[in-house]
Amino acid sequence: MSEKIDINVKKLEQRTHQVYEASPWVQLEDIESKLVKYLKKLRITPEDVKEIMNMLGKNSVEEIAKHLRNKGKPLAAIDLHNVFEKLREQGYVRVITTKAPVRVTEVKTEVMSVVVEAPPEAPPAEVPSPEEALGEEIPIPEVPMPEVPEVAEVSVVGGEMEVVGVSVSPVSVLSEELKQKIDQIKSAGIIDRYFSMNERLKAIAMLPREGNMILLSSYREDVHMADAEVAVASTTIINHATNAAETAKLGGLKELIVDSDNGYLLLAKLPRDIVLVSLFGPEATLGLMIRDFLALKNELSEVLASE
Amino acid sequence: MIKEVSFFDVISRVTPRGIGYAILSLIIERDDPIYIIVGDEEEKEVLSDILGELKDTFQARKSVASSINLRNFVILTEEEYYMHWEDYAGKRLIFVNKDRNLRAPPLDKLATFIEAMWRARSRDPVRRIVNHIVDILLALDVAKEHYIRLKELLEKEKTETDPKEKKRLLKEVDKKRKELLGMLERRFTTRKEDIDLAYDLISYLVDRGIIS
Repeated sequence: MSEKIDINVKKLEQRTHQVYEASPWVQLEDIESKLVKYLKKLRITPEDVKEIMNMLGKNSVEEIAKHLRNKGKPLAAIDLHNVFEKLREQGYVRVITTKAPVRVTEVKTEVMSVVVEAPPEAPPAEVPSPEEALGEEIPIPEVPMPEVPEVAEVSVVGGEMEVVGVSVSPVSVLSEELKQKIDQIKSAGIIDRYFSMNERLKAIAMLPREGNMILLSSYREDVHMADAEVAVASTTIINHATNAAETAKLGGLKELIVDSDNGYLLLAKLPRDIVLVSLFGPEATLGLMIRDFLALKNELSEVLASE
Repeated sequence: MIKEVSFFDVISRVTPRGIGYAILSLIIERDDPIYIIVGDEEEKEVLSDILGELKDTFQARKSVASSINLRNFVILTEEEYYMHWEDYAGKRLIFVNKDRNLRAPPLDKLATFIEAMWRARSRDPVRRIVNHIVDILLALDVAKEHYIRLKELLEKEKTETDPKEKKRLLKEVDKKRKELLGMLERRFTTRKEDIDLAYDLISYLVDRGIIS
């Protein structure tokens, strides 16, 4: 089982480094017209497609995506990969090689290995419905701040290993399967890739709906999202917004954007009752930011929802 | 020597197109060696047998002056490849299962022949496939000179502006094409697919400068 998981992780890691080449026996115009059709939604113009065609056979998916993003096109590497795979199934292109990955060196990633359960006498704060909130004054219950467990392991991507804190016996409420999924996500370098593609991305965290721990966090510089207050606030926002969307008969909540003076907070729900939180700097381009967040959300959902 | 039962099982998984794609890659790729990625150990064993015997048989039968060369190859299972994929960055990869849908007339013809062997449950299918491909490869050496001359005439005709000279060149092109096809027909008698396959391969190899 763990070997199978490892291969799947490696496949996730490898896929955007693939170099696709057109079949020597097809008309290039046929491939061009397919690319124009499949990439139209992402505002990729026929002129951009000509550039993509020139890069086929020489550049990886990631390199082509970066080139287009530098031109201001809101495109994630995984979007391009999915389109190329469609063409591959139809026999228009094939994979001929891969490029070596470029490691992101200035991002720190933490995976919490210890969880502290919330005390039984202080149940999670009930989120009032909008009618209740509007109708009468409801006393705001005190939200107990769970202790942030000491980090037993810190891994620094591409840099020196630094161990902070001490090992303690874990009291884990996470299922084995979820832990494996989180490990898969970390090992596949999915989140690292988004840091390398978007300089405005400052931090990413994944937390359970209860907000009582951080499952995985990655951050640049001094930004640190592995913090209990952010965790609880994020999940509270998501719960409120979910209620609001349902009450307003908008259907299920997909994503939230919090636009503030010092940056943007983007939140979304993932499978297995997990919340995704990301922080972008104030200078982030909206289109690219949203595209990257959605692409990241889809990739993480793919892993979490898989067997 | 592989058991016939597992050979046909493997063909049904990899499909004749997958086998054909691996064989085609040995003939037309520039890089050497090529890295062929298959699903599991059984597929690795069957493909090793076919490609190994193809190389050995062609090497034994081709003339010393032949310009046709089959690539060296390394076969990896998916597990072997993906667990160390970074080590193969920059290498020429052949994904037999994922790229077998490639649109390619020579692949269509190869696959048709392999499928015929598979459906007929032929005795010694590996040897039959190998001998068939080697026959075609040996014909390419002879066809090469005819095709090079044909190509020169075609290029001359394209750029010729004098109508009389253009007409003469067109006649030459037609004559040369008939000579080439006639030569292939004599070798392969009624097997039109083989004639077409040989023509596809020689035109690819010469047009891309892989042989000259």
